[in-house]
Amino acid sequence: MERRARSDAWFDGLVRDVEPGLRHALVAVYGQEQGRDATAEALAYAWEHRERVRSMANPAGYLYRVGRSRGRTRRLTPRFMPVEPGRLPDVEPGLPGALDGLSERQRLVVVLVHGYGYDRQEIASILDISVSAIDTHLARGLTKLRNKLGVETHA
Amino acid sequence: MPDLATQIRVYLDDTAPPVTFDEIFTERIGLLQVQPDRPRPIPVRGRGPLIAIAAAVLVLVIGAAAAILTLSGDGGNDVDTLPGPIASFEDIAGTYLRRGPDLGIMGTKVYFLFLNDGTIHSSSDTDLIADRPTVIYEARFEGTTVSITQTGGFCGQPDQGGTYEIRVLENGNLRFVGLDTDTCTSRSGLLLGLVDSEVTAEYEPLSVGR
Repeated sequence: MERRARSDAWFDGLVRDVEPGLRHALVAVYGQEQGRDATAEALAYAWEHRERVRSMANPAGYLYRVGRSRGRTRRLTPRFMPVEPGRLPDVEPGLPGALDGLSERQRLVVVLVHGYGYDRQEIASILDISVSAIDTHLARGLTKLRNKLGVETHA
Repeated sequence: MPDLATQIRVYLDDTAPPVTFDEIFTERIGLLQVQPDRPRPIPVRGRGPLIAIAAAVLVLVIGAAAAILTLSGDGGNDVDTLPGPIASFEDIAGTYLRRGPDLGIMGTKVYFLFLNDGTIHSSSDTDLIADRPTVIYEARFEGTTVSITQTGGFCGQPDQGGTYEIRVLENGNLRFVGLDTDTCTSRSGLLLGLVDSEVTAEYEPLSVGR
């Protein structure tokens, strides 16, 4: 009821289109809880400033920076939830720690490009870096991730 | 164990589910203080010259806009005054630069490559637009109505697409005219420019006839 009273067709469409990518990116930066919070706040910002946001060609990129700005203001540090024993048998228990050990950009690129298959050039434009830099972050991030998981898995 | 990419997806999908509308609205509206990359305020003492420059620029911009509107006579969204819509890309195939009122935060140029096979590539780099575009749009003409869907970008799946007309203006620029509400707001915002505004995006030809 609350949602219907406040939302409209444009905002419903914006959330449907933008929320997944925005959440994936902000969760990669801040971890699950803080990343989802930042996503919700960025989308709330979009609703409050809908007349401005609806005119934008790239609302996803803009809202990503809104979410990042929120994180910088509160000086958030990434926190990744541990894998609960028995809950996700197909996930290495060391994955959260290994993700936490990556630099922010390595983590973003590994999650978005390698994990979810987002377009490298699109991510490059949102992060304002070159595609070759994306490739470098990806290669280094994956190497670091695999080494960490390999050590933990075989220790 | 599945491959690393699958593990990342499984882990994050399970522990970071989609944000709900309740989460967006509950106790957030009215509390937000953040601004995206807002520049620091300038001290009052240093503002005088900047205000004068800004005022001068504003006068120039307003004057130029008025002159352009007077000369072109098609500054608004009045579809009836535009030339007839095209029915294929045959005569317009080539690379165009998007001239729009807003490109979000990126501030980058966006190029569109219209191809005879009915696809449109977009990219911020003309060197990459042919082979490695950011987004590929598929355009299907039924008469002068063109249905547009896309691969890549931030549109929901399945992409229901949107219907448009494409008109060639007297100055050679292209303009999209929306015929219905596109299911993808990112796409309609890019193609049309400012939605519900008097200002629309145009596409200036750079190299036509490819």
